[in-house]
Amino acid sequence: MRKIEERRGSGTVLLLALATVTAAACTEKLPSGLDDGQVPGSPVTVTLELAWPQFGSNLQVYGGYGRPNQMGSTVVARSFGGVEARALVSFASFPTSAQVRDASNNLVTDTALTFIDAYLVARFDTLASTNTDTVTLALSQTLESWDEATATWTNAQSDLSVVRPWSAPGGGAVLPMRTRTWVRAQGDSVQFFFDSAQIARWRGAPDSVRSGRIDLLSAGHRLSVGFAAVRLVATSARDTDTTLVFTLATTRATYIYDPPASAPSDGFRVGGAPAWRTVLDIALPATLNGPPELCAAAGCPFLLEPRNVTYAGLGLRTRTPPTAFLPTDSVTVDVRSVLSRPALPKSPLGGSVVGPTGSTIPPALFGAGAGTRVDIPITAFVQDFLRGPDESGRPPSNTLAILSTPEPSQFSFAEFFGPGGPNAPVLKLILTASPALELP
Amino acid sequence: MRVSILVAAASLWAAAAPLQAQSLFNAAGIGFPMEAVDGRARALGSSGLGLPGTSLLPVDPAASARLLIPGGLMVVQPSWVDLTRDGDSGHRYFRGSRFPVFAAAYPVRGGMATVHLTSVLDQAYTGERIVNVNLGSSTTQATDRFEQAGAVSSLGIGYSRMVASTMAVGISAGRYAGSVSRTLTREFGDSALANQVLPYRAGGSWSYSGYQVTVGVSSDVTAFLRLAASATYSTELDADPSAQTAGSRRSFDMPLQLRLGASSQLAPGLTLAASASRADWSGTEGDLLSGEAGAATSVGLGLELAQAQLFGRTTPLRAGFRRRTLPFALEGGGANEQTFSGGLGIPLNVTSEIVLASLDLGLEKGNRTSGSFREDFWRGTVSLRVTGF
Repeated sequence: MRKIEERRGSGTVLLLALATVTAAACTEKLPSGLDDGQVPGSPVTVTLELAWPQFGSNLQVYGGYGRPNQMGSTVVARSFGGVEARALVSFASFPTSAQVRDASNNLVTDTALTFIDAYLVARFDTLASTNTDTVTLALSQTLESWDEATATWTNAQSDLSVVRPWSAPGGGAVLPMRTRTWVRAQGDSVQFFFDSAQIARWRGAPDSVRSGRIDLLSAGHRLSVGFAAVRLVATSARDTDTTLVFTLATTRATYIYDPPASAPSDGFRVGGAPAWRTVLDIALPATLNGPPELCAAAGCPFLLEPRNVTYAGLGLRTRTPPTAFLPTDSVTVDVRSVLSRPALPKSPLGGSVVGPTGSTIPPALFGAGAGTRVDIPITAFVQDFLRGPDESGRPPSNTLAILSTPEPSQFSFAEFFGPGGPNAPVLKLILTASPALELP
Repeated sequence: MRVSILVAAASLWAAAAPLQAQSLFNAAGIGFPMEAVDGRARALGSSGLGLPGTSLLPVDPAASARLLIPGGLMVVQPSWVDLTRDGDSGHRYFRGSRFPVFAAAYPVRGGMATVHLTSVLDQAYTGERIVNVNLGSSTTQATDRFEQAGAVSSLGIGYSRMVASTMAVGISAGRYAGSVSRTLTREFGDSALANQVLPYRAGGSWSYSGYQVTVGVSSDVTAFLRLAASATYSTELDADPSAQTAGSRRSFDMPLQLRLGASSQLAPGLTLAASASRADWSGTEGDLLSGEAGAATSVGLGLELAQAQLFGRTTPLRAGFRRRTLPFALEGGGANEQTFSGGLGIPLNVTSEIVLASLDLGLEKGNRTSGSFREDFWRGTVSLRVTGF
């Protein structure tokens, strides 16, 4: 018997080289032609616009979603389009002590602070404010308690269990504190300085007292107050070389206005605070008999399937809302399916069909640009509608709600023309279809 | 030496893991016919029949009868392809690997039972088309992308035995398997509706089925001449669509395949191998929605120098030439492939003059042409064969 001698070294090196070569060829790169000769079939993409009677019905506008205090900002207005608005704000309590260094440079707690100055600073959202020049504002101390969530122009509290009107509409009795002029060209904020008596009143007072009302005295304007706080300046007997500055954050903030907007007799309304929503029913034809290029490519009658809808957009034309509520900032619109139409206006809503960022509409389109067509994508909603009942047999919603996002986001609201007339809504569909793919 | 076998097996396995495409001719007809042959046959320009020694190739079902002991075969085939077209200055380069055959044999009742998994038709390719689409208020570019992925393969069993001291016969039966998916996607480019128009997607998938039987005979006519022949009969290849597929069920006629091979020892250690095959696919043309189908013929010739020494061991050296016509063409006028090949065999483990493990390498330089299309390619074939496990 003879056994051929094994030489591991050379064989292993060769095999490793082979492995490298084969591994290099493993990187997939599928063959493709130099032109489109190997692409079978040719999809066709067509654009359709359905008029309101062909797709829409039961248009309704609902109001009252959310509360002004959820906006994160407040509004003051004076005779702006016939609307008055005042801001109500409360602040945290005064500090009772502070850590200071004494003459020996030791850190000690001083509980006998002396407040030598205080002022309320209000910063405005210049984009959302209508003034272009100087306006005058007044700060007063409220003398009647108010409920942040339910306060209105006429009631200090108006929830289901308690309705407590102001002694006078618009915030009841107040103690005037200071008036100030905001010169827009010089900055975006104003300071209302407190006198010593006011400081004494607020120091140690309950939360209900440490509350102010901001009024706009200049008629014909509407301002958005984005931030308010009280700044305190204090000294310590333990450290006479140091001045202490404290900031009292806002603990409650809302605004009250009058008169409230009335529901529109027609058209779409979206936004505001409390917010408006527009609800409508959608219907789509199950089959299409045109346009000719669609029939030529996929045959007619053409059974409309979800995958054919590559885009669906609700085409709305902007309309100018009442002057008091004319948007001065972009309005972001969201569309969601209404999960239980009978439960409206409190029906739960489905997820956004527009996307996480919504559809943003510039404010100019509601003023000088009124009548401009804006398309709000609702592709996901239409696809779900065409998909039919889900696995549990539940039919898809055919009702959608158009709302602002976040809700509420601003005092003003957007309006669009409704059915009837040349500016009626349309449903724009971009459909793509192809013949069934067959084997060669 | 066990390390070498493990490395070889690992590299083959890693390379074979994805089933990948190797030619744009995959787009022609019902695909590109793949040949279940090993590195030795490739290097010799052979169809795999009538070669000296033993074989586990399913195209030569009688050859395994001479194996006597259990054996296994794995083959991987990487290739690098450059596609050009007359009148078009551009070119496409693609690469990929496939595994044409896995086979195993085991002695049963005086003969040899075999099982094999082979590739039959490669169908993977992509295509792209740019079109202008009117979106109502604007026109934008859209990209139509077509992708076909899949292949027809065959899983079979066979049996062979010596019926005389110099003659063996064999038979194998297999079932077609595999699937193909075809997807057409339209993606829309930037426009006023950017990011709002969703892609359109259509497609379907089909599963293949059908049967084939191969019979073969191999005879050592003289001490210096071996002859072998085989024939494969197939039922129709059926393609059944999945439930979600809008496309229809299809059946494709599969031709009778005839093969002939011979090898002759010209001098001690020097062997001449020749082979030819024919399959008339013209009957399939009637099953195609478009395109042509014709006869696929193949002739090959090669020389093997069995006593060459490399790295101090006996390493057979091989060279060959092969020309064949393809059944499906990208354009009218047929399609041809021709290759010049070379290769070597590396015995990894030899005991008592029995090769327990060997590696066969084949490297082909060739081209495929059809009308204005031309593919120049390098194709490697690496096969690992083990016996006696």
